[in-house]
Amino acid sequence: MTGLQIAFLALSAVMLFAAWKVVTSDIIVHAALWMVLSFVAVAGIFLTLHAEFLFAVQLLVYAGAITALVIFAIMLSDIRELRGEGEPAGAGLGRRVRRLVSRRLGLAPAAVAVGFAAVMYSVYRATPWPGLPPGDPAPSTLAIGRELFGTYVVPFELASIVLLVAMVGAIVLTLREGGREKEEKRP
Amino acid sequence: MPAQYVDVVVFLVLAGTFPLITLAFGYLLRPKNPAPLKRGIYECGEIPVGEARIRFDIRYYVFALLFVVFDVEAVFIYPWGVLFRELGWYGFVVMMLFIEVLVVGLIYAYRKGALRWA
Repeated sequence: MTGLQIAFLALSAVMLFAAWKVVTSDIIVHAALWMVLSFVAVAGIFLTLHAEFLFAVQLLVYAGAITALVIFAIMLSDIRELRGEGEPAGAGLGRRVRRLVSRRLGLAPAAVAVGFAAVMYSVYRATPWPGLPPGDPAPSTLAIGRELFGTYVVPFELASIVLLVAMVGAIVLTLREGGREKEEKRP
Repeated sequence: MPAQYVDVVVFLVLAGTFPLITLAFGYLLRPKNPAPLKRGIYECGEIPVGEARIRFDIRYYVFALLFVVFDVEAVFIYPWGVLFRELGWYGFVVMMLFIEVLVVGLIYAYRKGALRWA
């Protein structure tokens, strides 16, 4: 087993464990933080695949931006009780039955997970994968940069317009005219 | 494994174990005396009122969204930085156009008072 395989297995284990904790954490903020760990592990897997640019995007956009939005959505929500349904109470057969039909730990999520895994596996089998590139591939960031600033320079500039629209939209939506709307009482 | 990342792995392992060792020593050495007052929520010398999890003001959301926008901008700047010498002045002009459009947005946010806290 090479170091690359060890790294891949370790990162996959971390990612799967973190993803499992995302689903099963009772406190939703903890779930969000476990999500960050799984994002970081995915970023590490990108690194083992020589995809340095994707690594940076994964860290900046997913572990940074998406996480910030998720945390903000949690913080801004007015739900007092931010816990999941947790373990069903009671004992014996009734508890077991309730656990099976639980929306979080029961049969339906398991069926969805198995179905998704089956789809992914069939796609994996049906795709003709290119053979491994010989030797050390060229750094991907250089190739992506050359394309970005060569062939796709116009879409690249348009991306700044998209970002500008997003920024203006965010300000218009969250800031009322005058900005001094009546102070909302903090609960 | 790309050889240059071995250093990164060593660094990660060291960076992970160092705080763990420090915390473990602290856990073993410090006196444990949990009292309700000590375990309470810290609120700057005050007796805490209510619970820690309050609903945040929607105005924070502007900062989050602005952060996201400039975060995505950083994603585009990264390959430019890698190719900086190769692209030369052409790349500089292209990137300045890109940033300039976003600076327009920043000026808009500033003039709208989105960055002011009152």
